[in-house]
Amino acid sequence: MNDRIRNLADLDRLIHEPGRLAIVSLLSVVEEADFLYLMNETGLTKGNLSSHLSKLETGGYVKIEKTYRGKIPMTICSLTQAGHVAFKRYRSALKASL
Amino acid sequence: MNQSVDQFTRAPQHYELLDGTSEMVLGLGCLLFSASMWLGTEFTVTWQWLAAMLGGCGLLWFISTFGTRYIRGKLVYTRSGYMKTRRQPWKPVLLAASACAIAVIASIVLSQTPQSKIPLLVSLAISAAFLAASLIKGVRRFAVYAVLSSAWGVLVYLMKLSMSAGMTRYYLLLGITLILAGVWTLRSYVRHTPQHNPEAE
Repeated sequence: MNDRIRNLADLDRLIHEPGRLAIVSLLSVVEEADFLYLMNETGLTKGNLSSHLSKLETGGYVKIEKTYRGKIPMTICSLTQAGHVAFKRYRSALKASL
Repeated sequence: MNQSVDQFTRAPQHYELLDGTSEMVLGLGCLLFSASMWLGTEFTVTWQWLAAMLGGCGLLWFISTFGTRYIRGKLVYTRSGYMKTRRQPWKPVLLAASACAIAVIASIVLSQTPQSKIPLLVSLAISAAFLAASLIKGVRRFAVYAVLSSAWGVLVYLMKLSMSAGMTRYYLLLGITLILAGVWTLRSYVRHTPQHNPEAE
C-alpha cells in the first residue's frame, strides 16, 4: 500500500470526525474552556456537543469538570496530555498524507 | 461548521479582543502616559511626582487585571462562554526582547529627528503596530485605530507644538479615542449577544 494512503488509514478516528476535530482544535490552544464557549465557536448543538465531549472524555483526550460560577452551573473542558499528543500526531499524519 | 483547523486554533486570539476591554486598558495607559508627560513639563520632578506616577501604574495594573476580569465575568462569559488562553513560557521573554529592541531603535531614530516631528513619528509607529495587530489577530477595528492614530499625529504636528506638548496631546487624543472605542465595542457586544440561559449541559 502507498505510504500516503497508509497514513490516511492510520488517522485517529476519534479526532477525525468534524465535530470532534473542531472541539479538539479549539481546546488545543486554550488552557480550559466552558461548554458555552465551545458551543458558540463550533456551532454544534447542545446535544451534539455533549455527545462528542463524552466520547472524547471516554477516549482520555478531554477532561470534563462540572462546577459552579455563583449559582450558574458550568462545564469546564480541557485537553489532556494524551489529547495534545493525539492531536499533534493527527495533524502531522494528515499533512503527510496530503 | 466549515471552518478549517487553523481558524479554530486562531479563534481564542480573536475572542480575547471581542469585548473592547483591551482598548480600554490601552486607552488608560495612553492617558497615564499623557499625564506623566504633562506633569513632567509643568512641574519639577519631585518624589511626590514619582509616587503619583507609581500609583498611576499600580492603578492601571489593578484595572487591567481585576477590572477586565470583572467585566468579562459579568458580561462576556455569561453570554458567549468562558475560556482561558494557554500560557506560553517564551511569550514574556519574546515581548521583553521585542520591547528592548524597539526602544533601542526608537532612541536612535528619535535622536536624529527634529523634536517637533517626534509626535508624528511616534503616531506613525503606533499606527503600524495597530495595523499589524489588525492583520495578525484578524480584528478590523484595529485598522481604524491605525488611521485615527495617524490622523491625531498629523493634527498635533500641524499645531506646531513643542515635543512634550505634542506628545501630551497626541497620547491624550489616542487615549480618549481608545476608551470610547472600547466602551462602544463592549456596548455593541452586549446589545447583540443575548444572555445565555443555563440548562443541562
